[in-house]
Amino acid sequence: MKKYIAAALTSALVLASACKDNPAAPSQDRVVAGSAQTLQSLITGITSQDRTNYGGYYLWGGIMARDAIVPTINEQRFVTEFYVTLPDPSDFIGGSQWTGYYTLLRASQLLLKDASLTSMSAGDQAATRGFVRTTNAMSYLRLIEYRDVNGAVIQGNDPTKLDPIRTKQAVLAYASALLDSALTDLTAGSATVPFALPSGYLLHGDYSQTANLILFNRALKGKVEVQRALSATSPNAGSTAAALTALNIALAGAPSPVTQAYLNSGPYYQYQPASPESAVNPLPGSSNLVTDNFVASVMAGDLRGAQIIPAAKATVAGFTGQNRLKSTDPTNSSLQSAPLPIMRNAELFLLRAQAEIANNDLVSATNDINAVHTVEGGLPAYATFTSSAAAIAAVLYEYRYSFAYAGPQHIVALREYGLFNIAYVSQAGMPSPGAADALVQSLPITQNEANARGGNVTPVP
Amino acid sequence: MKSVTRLWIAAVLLAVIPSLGHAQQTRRISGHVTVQGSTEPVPGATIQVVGTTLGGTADDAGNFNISVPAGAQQLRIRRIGYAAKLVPLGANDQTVTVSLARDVLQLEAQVITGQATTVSRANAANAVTVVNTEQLNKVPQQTIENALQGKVPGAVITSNSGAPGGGIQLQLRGTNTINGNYQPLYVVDGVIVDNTAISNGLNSITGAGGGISSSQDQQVNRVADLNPEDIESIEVLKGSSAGAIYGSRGANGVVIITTKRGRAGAPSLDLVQRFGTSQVTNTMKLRCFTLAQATAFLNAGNAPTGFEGAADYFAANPYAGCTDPQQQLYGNTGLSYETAASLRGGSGDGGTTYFTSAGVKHDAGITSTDGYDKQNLRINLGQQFGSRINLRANSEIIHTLTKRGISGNDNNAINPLDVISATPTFFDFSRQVKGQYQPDPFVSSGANVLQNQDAIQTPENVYRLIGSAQAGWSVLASARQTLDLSLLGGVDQYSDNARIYSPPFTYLEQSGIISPYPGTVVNSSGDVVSANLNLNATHKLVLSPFTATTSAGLRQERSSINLVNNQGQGLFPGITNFATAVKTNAAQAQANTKTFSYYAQEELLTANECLLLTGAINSERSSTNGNPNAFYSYPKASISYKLPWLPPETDNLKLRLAYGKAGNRVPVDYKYTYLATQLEDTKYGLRQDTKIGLSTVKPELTTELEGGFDATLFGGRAGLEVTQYKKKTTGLVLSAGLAPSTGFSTQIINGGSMQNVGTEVGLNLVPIQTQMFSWTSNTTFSRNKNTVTSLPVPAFTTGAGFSERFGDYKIQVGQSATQVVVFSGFIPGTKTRREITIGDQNPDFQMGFSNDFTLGKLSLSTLLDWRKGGYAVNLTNNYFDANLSGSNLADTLLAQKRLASFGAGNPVYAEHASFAKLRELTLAYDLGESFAHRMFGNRAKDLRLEASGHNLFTWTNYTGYDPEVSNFGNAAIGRTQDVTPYPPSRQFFLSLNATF
Repeated sequence: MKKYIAAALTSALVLASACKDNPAAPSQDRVVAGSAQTLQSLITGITSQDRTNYGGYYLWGGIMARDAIVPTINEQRFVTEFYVTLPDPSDFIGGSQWTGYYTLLRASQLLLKDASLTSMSAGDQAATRGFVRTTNAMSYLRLIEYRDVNGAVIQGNDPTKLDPIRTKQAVLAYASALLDSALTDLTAGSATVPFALPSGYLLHGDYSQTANLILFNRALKGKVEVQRALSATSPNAGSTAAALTALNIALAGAPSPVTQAYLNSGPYYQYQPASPESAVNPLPGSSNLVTDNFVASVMAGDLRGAQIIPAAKATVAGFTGQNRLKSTDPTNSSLQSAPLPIMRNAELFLLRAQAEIANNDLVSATNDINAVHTVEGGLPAYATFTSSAAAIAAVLYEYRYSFAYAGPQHIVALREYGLFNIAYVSQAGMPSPGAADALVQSLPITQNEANARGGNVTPVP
Repeated sequence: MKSVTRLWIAAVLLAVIPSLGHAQQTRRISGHVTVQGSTEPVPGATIQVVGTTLGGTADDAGNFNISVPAGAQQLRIRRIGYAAKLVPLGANDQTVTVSLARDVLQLEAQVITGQATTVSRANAANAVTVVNTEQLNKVPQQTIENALQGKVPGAVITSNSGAPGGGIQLQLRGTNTINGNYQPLYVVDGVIVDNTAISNGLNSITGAGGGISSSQDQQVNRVADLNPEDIESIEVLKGSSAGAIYGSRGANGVVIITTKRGRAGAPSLDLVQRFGTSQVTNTMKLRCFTLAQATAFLNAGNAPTGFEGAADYFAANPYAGCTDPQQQLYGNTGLSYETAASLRGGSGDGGTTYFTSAGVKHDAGITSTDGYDKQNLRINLGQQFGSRINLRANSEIIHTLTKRGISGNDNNAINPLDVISATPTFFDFSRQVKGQYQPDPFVSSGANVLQNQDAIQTPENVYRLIGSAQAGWSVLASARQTLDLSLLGGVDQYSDNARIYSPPFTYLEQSGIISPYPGTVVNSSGDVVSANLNLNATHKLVLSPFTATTSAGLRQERSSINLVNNQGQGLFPGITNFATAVKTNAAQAQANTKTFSYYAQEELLTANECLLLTGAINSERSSTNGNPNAFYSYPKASISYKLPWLPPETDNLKLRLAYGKAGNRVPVDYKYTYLATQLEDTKYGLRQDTKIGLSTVKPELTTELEGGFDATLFGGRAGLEVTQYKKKTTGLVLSAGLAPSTGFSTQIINGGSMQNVGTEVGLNLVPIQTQMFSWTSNTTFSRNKNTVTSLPVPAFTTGAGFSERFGDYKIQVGQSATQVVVFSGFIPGTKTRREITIGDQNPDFQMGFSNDFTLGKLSLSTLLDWRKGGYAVNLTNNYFDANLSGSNLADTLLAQKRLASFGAGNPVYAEHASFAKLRELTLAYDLGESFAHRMFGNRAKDLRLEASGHNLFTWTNYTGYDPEVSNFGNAAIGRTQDVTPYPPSRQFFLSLNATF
């Protein structure tokens, strides 16, 4: 098997024979090695793959936390795989949020070896490496957010080698180191990256500037370290401090008082629904609903509650939804091209609050929670919390309503605090788990990954 | 290559030149051939002087005039449909009269043994099934695959759905492949015809798969365009031992179709007029609600947002309570009709022959908007120039219009059965307020299935031309040897223009479920050209101990496929020009292939024509191979022997053994590792594709050993054919799964092997044959067992399926390639998956029972098709069980129990798919010549009245719509996925056939 992969890779970015059988598909001889155009194409290959990966990232976490529900009559597995059984590793849910990240990581490795990069100036090379490695670290972070204790593979240089599945802590530690390495590169890099980034990187801050990419890098670093620190099974002692250091850098420019514009700052995915790009914002969907409990639990006066609108009632396998967020309204054509955040500052305040709670700094934690609570919720500021439990409950609330249909932030926090069960039967309006439900907290290692390993998917440190 | 060609021709010529002067003295005799027991002539009978190449053909009146060598001779008289006869000819005889008995066992059919050679079936070494025009057209058939159901041992025929117009796939002797083509090659009068299945873009509104079009678009295999009425016979070469002559396209068998030809004699006009109708065969048993039940149902949390309440609804709706929307949708019994005319004739010996036909056909669907129309015109011409040269030109122009509606998988709540499964039957789709259908409040799309049926259009127009020209040159024709050269050029060209139009005003479009821009159109066009050029040389040497037939030739094939889909979303009502849409998308797929092959074959018929030895080799290269210049060889050898000593009551006993290798062409693109492209912000993004191609990929190779015996018993009253075969396919072209963490998902490899072992039995009986009454019976049996014998990669699931949760297909050493496995959850307390092997998608065995009874002028024909075993994955049940918690099914408790069992990991949706179907039933009355004269004058020769039915009854325990259908028909593996299909139907026809 090795020789097949090796042969293919040898030719992967070199030239293959002309492709007369299928003129519609590009063959590799369209790439002019060593040219700036090639680097741009390879960078776009990575950023567009990242945008594709987001297609499932935004959704599963919300369903697992019982915030979102997708009762579509023609695809019942959106409901049954989470509420009736466990996700099948070979299925489109249990098998998702895996392959695309490794495709991106391999593409990144090929880019970093490509002559189009190594022929550039040292500053441009460093800026490029810094961007690519930051993106790679985000992929590892997202992999582990969904796989959690099931672990993930740290992809090696040799694609013919089957790298081991590593524990969550090992993967997060690797991502952390990768971000530090990227920071070194970005610090040494040219002031502007030597390629054009997608327009979403320029909407809320100019992330073609390496100075701003450093902020993005530190934001990710903070997120990684919070997850390392708050791991329910094996918390990492030094990570709370590391998280605070990184997040303080990332939020150093925060205005006082914090504004909505600042909370929205960060790189975004931009969508272009028209042909030939045909990339559509994935949120709008007739069955992309929210649970009754999500609707009932929103605080009175919360501006985010106004984002909830009625939808046609839909029931599948006994599980019902009848409301949606405006951002998932399929009849609103403007949503097709609406940008979605890759990561925005509002999340950083909540992450820092989590680190501060871990440090028992409830004053700072309250301030950071209020940054989101008062601006995005339009609600009166909380008085300083007197207990960690209260602060944690507030953090969970903000994650729930500021990051609905935006990823697994809420479920990750529930998991960190061992509060996953509050997403279940104890509350009215929550979908009750079926008899076979064993509290779906993570997605399994995909079946094809397991097959290639003879079924052994036990992670190693 | 050109020099090789010239060398071949020169070699053949040199071999025969020494014999040119060995001419014998000859004389002329005349004769007449009739049907035994009557004065009815047998036109077209061939007369051969035994031991020589001399002979001729009887004309329309059964007369012949031929040269024979001096002295006493023997004549062999043959005609398809009649038993061959040996007739002694005295040294001084000038005339001879021969009567031929009807050959109900078809022993005298000629079967193809090579590119340019045939042999009597009595000597054939392979079990070749021959289906003649009478057998094909006992019942009006939409497509030739329909017509073959139940008639070909070893053939498994499935369909995408019950929608009109085809979408049927044929698989012979099991699957030889996982990723390659699995269907046989179709050859019509020497022209290799295209059988591509083209998506019509339905996916744009169903969202069944990704992109504009999908493999789930109820595709029609385009061999469906062929007109069964024009076919004289179909020969089915089922395995590689017979298919080796077609090289890399022979492994899955070859279906050789011969159309009707002209015949010397007066013009003969056949007219057929048919009228009929279709009727839905099977529907789901839905529940009826009383007002109290409906109220309870709604109060149990099932009331849609803003629903007015059951009482008001019942009061406002006269149909409430027990409306079966399936009948509203599929209850159409519109008029179907067919008019066909053919004219056949030719001038006398050495002149022009012609066969021309024209037909108009309309099959009404079981909905008011679906249907199938076909118009076809054929002209087959033959011209003899002297005694040495003949030309033949065949051409057919076909137009079909197919409207198949919406069925199969969907993700947009548009499939009618999908919507029905989620809508309680007290909602009446037909109810209108102020002339408007009402939205369905029970589904998020609000889709009203009757509004969709009326509004959504799915026309697919195909214009097709199949033509060939053939020139034959009899270079040498002496009493002992002949040398014939033939050149055939054929082309099959068609354009397939499909439109999916979903207007903006429907509730479905307004809901935004398809896109936020109401109104969707997809204009799809497929341009397909397939052409082949064959050059053959055949030398026959007839000596007293043997007849040696040597043939050699070349074949070149080219094909080009260009598919374009243009999608528009956001349309003004009535406008179907995609360019005016708010949002447009486009897709294109192209594939070109080029193949060249040459072959040589030797046949030796000896031992008083009892022993036939054949050896051949075909060598071929193709542009789809990794090395397009490399030739791959496909040899074959066979032997048949008619035993000279026979057991009691045995007329004939032939043993046969055949061996051969044939290939399966590499799919286009498999040799390349592409770059994946992704556009972002007007910039091209490139990354490695996740599929790794194989630059050295070569065709899969199937080796087959086939043996058996054919016996004729009881004075021609019984015929028994028994065949056992074993096929082994090596070098499987696998799209092997990789650990995705490597950054690659699959790689193409040549590796692994599988085998098919099977048995085929044919039993033909004539239990009763009197002047007044006759009964002929034909029973076929076949079974096939597939086993994956080696794999270079770990076991993997593949094929067309939705989820192992419901039932998927796993490739695993020691198991069948078409085994169905179900993921039944995790072992409690662990993350270890439980996987249950349920069975096989393919049946344990199949049997066909055909019986023909004739009582005077009345005849009755029946065909029963029985398929035992096999599993289908019934997702239709899952829809009805999970939506409304099963409340819409008559047996709600069963539905709920089934769903609960599914939730617990039990394989409830993988179901036995055994069935028996009454495929054909025809009652015919021959009104006779005198009646024909009275009706249409003296030129009329015959008049026949028929009442017939197709798929009249099905006996099965399968709980879905039809155990024969699959959402993914066009797949080697995964052909039994039942997802809310177009329901099956039965057809009734009344026909009047007249001959002038």
